[in-house]
Amino acid sequence: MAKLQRSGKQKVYLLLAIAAALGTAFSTAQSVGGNVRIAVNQRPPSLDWQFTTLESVRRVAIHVYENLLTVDEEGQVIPQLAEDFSVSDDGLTYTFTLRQGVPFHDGSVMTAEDVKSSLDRWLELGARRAELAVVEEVVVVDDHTVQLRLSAALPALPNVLAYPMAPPAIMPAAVAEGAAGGEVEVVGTGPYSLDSWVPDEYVRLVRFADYAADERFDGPTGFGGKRTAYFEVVELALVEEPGARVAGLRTGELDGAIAISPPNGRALANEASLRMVERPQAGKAWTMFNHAKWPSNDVRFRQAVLAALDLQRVMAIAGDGSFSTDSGLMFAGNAYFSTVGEDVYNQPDPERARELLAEMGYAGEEIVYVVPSDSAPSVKAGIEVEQQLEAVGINVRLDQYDFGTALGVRGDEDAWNLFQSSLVVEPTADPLPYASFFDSTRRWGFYGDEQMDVYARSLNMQATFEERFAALESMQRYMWETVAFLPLGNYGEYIGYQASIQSDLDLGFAIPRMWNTWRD
Amino acid sequence: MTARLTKFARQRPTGLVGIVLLVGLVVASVGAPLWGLADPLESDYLSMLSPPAADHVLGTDQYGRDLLTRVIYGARLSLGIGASVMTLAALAGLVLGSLAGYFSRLDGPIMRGLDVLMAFPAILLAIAIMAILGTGARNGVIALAIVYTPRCARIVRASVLSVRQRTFVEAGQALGAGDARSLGIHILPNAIGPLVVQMIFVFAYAILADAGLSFIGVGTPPPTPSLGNILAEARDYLMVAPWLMWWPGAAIAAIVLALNLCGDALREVMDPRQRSG
Amino acid sequence: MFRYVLARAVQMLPLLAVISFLSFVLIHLVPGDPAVIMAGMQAPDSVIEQVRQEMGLDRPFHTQVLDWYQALVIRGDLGRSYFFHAPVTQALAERLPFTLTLAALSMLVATIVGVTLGSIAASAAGTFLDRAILVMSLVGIAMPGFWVGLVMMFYFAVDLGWFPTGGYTPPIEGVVPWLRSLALPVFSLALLESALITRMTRASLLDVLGEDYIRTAHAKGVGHRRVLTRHGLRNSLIPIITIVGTSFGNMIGGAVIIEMVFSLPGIGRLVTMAILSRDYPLIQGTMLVIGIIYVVVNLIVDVLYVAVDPRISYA
Repeated sequence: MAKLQRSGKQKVYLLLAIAAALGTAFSTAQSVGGNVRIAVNQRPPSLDWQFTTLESVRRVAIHVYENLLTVDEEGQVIPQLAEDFSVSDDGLTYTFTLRQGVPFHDGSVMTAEDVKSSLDRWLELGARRAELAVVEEVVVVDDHTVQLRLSAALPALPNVLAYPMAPPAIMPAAVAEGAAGGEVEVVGTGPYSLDSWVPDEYVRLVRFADYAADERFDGPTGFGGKRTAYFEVVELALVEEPGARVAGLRTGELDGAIAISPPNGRALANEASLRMVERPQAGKAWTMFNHAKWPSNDVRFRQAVLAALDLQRVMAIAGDGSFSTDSGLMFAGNAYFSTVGEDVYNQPDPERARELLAEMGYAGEEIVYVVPSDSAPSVKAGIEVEQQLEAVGINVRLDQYDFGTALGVRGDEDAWNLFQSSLVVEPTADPLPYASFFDSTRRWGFYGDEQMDVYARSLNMQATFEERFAALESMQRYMWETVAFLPLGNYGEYIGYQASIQSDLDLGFAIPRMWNTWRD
Repeated sequence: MTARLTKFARQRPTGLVGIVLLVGLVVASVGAPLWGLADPLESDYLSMLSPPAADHVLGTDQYGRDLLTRVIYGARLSLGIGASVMTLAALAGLVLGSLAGYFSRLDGPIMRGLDVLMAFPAILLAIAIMAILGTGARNGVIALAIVYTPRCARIVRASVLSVRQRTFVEAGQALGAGDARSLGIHILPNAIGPLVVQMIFVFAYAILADAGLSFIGVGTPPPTPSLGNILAEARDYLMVAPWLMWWPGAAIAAIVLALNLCGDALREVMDPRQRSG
Repeated sequence: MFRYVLARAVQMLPLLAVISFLSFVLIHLVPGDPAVIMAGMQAPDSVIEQVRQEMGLDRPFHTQVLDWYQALVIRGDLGRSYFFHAPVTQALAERLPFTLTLAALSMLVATIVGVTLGSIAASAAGTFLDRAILVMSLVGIAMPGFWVGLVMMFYFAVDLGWFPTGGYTPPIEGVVPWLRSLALPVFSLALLESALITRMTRASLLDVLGEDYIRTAHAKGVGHRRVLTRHGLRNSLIPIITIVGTSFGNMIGGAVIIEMVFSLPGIGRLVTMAILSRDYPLIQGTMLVIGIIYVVVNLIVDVLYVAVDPRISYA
C-alpha cells in the first residue's frame, strides 16, 4: 500500500514537471473545469459531419471529431489521426499509418478497421464524396495501416481529406456501419464528446477525460495539433435573434457570441469587460447568374451588370461598414489569393452598361433576382445591387424567400435570373471547393461551361502549390472574362468574448475553438 | 351638419380624437409624394445610422436612408395593406356570412370550414400561406384577408340570422320577394352596421399582424418600407440606433390607436346601449 | 355533464381530421426541399436525392398522407422529425408544457389585470380614473407585443439587469429564477389581452349594472362593493369567459414571435422552425396539437358557460 502511494506520488511529480515545462511554452495558469457558453446563430440540421457541409455542423464537429489529416493555422495539411502517410510512385496508392492508442468517446480504441469503415461510409454518402470518386477501395493492411487505392492519380488527395468541410471524420466501425446519412451516433476521438443536443436550444459538449492529445506538436494549430480541453462543459447555445446575442454579451450571460453585426461590434468594443474581434473577411457576397435563361445567359448582360455596379457602395452597405473589395476567389492573406480580374472588377461605368444592354437588345424585360431573406449580408447586398441595376435601366424584381424556398426556386431554371448568395470560404482554406463549385457535371443545372470544367478538374490534379495556384488563377481569370459568377466583395462581422476568456488560439478565428481556451 | 358634429364631439371626445388622428395620418402618408421628401429607397453609405439631425430629422437607417421618409411611406403601405385586408375580408365575410345565415342548408358546411380557419392561430396561418405564396405586400394581403374572413363572416351571419326572423323580411317573402331580393334589399342593409364596426377592428388587427409577419421575415420584404419591416430591420441596431426602433413603433401604435378610437365611437353610435366613458 | 363533454369532443374529431389534412396539403404546396436544407447547399444532387429517399419524400403524395394517418390512428405515432432526429411526439412533449405555461401565466396575468382594471373603471364610470384606464387599455391594444418585448429587453434586461435577456430557467432550478426568466415574455404577451379584457369587463359590467335586478339589490340596501362582485361580475362573466377563450388562441399565436424574441423553447418557435426547414412530420404534428388545444379551450369555455349561467343547460 505504502509502496503504491509512493509510486503514485512520483508519477504526480513527473506529470507536474512535464506540465510546468509545457506551461512555460504556452500559457500561464489554466486549470481544468468550468463551463463556457457561446451563442451561435444557426441550428445544425444534424451532427453528421461526413454528411453535412453546413458551418453550423462544423462548429460542433471540430470539437468532437478528428480526421486522418487536417489543416493548421495557415491552412497547410497536417496529420491528425494519421501517424504518417506515403504515396506510391504511380500516385495510385496512398498508405496511412495510424496513431496508436487513440480512444473513441465510447471507450474503444481506434484501429484500421474503424478508419476503413469511416472512409467507406464517407465514400458512400459523404457530401463531398465526388471529390474522391477515383478511390476504388480502402484496404486494411494491418491494425494500424490503411491503404487507399485509386483508379487514377489525384495529387490533391491529402488536401481533400484534410479540408474541414464534410470531411471523412473517423468514428468507430460499429457506429459507422449502416448509419444513414444525417443519422449517425456522434462518437469521435476529439477533446470533447457530445453530452446532449436539443436542436432548437443548444449543443452541450463535455470534456473527454481520456482524450489522446497529439504529442507530436507543441500546441494547438488550426483544427489539429496538440489540443487540450480545459472547460469541463462547452455549450453552443442557439440564439437566433441578433439583438439577444448582443444583449447576452453585455450582461455576461454569454461567454461569447458569433455573428455580431459591425455597428454593434464597434459599440461593444468600448466595453472593458468584452473582447470584440473584427473579422473583415467573414464571407464573400456572390451574385449567381442563371446561364440557362435569357438574358442572363448572354455574356453582354452579365458584363452590363458588372459595369453597372459600384461594388464599394454595395459592400459598404452589405458589410455595415466592415468590408473589403477585391477580385480574389480566396481571401486576401491566403496563400492562394490572386488579384486576377482586377482590371474588370469594380470598374463602375453605367454608360458602358447601358451600351451593352442596348447592343444585346435588352428592352426592359423583368429580371427575377432571388435573395435568401435569412442572410442579412445577402439581403443588404441584394437591395443595393437592385437599386444600382435599376439605375442603368435593368428592370429587376427582387424576390426574397427563406433559405429553403430560395434553394427550391433556384432549382427551377425557368424561375430566376440572378441569385444572391454568400459563400463562407474557410479561413484556413484550400481552394478545392471551387473545383466542384464550378464543375457543371457535379453541380447546378443553371451553369455549365466546358472550358470552365477543364479548369475546375485540373485543380486537384496538380501536385505542387505553384501548379495548383496557377490552376486556380486560370479558373479565376476565366470566371471574370465570362462573368460566369460575380463575387461582389467581402463583408465583415464581429465575434465577441468576455475579456476573461483566454486562449492559446486566435479568438478572432471564424469558428469558436474551445480547446486550449479557459477562463481567467 | 355642423351642429351634429359639435354634438358628436361633445358626447364622444375620444371618437373625435380618433377621427382627427386618423385623418391626419392618412393625409400625411397618402400624400407622401407631395411633401418633397427624400427617396425612401435612396441609400447613402456615407451617412449610415446617423442620429437625428437637421438634414435627417429622425436620423438614418443602416443603408443611410432617411428614416422620416421611410416611416411616412411605411405608414402609407401599412394603411394600404390594412385597408385592402379589411375590404377583402369584409367582402368575403359578407358573401359567406349571408349565405350561411340565410340558407340554413349552407350554414353547417360554411361555418365548419370557417372553424377550421379559426383553429389556427392567425399568425401561424399567415406564415403558412405566405410560405406557399411567397412574401410580398399583395400576398400578405391575401394571407391576412383569409385569416380575418371568418370574423367578418360570423358577424354577418349573426346579423342575418337575427334580421331574418324579423317581421318585415317575412312580410317581404309573403309578398313574393325572391331569396336574392330579400337578402339584398331587406337583410343586408340591416346587417351592415355591425360589419362596418368589425371592419375597422380588422383594419387595426391587420396592421399589427402585418408588422408581426414582417418582424419574423415573412411580411412585406425590404427595401419597400412598411412599418413592420423597418422594425424588423432595425432590431439588429437597437443598441447603436434606438431611433430606428422608436418611430416606426410609435407610428404603428398611433394608427392602431386612431382606428380603435374610431371603431369604438362607431360601435357606440350603432349600439347606444354600450355607453362610452 | 360528462356526456355533454364527450359529445362535444366527438363532434370535434372531424374538425381535427380536416385541420390535419389541410395542413398536410398546405405544407406540401410550399416550394423548397427539406433534403436540400439537410444536406447543405454545397452538397451535390446525388446526395440530395439519397436524403429524399431516406426521408421517404420520393413516395407519391397520397402514400405519404395515408401512411401518416395510419401511423397516427393505429399507433398514436406522429412520425419522426427530420431535424430533431427524434419522434415528433417527443419534440412536442418537451416543448408543449413550456408554451402552455407561458400562455397560461400570461392569461392569468391578463385576466387578473383586466378584470381588476375593468371593474375599477366600471364602478368609477365617467371619472378621471375611468378615462385613464380606458386610455391605458387603448394604448395597450395599439402597441405590437414584440416591439414592447424588444424595448423592455433593452431597458429592463440589458440596461438595468433585472431580468435575463432570454432563455428559460425551469422551475426545478428555483421559483425566483423561473419567474424572472418568464417575466418579460409574459408581460409582452399579456399586454394586448389584458387591455382587451379590461375593456370587455368594463363594458359588460356597465351593461349588467344597468339591469333592473342590480337596481333592486341597491334598493334593498346591499353595499356597492357587494353588488359589484356578487351580482355584477358574476353576471358579466359570459362575455369575459368568451374573450379569455379566444385570447388563449391568440396567445399561442403571439407566443410564436415572443418565443423568437426571447429565445424560448416553446412550440411557437418549434413550428416556425419546422415550417422554415420543411420538417413535414413536425409541422403536421404541431398543427394537429395546436388544433387540439383550440378545440379543448373551446370546450372548456362552453362548459364554463354552463357552470356560470344557469339559463344555459347541457342539452
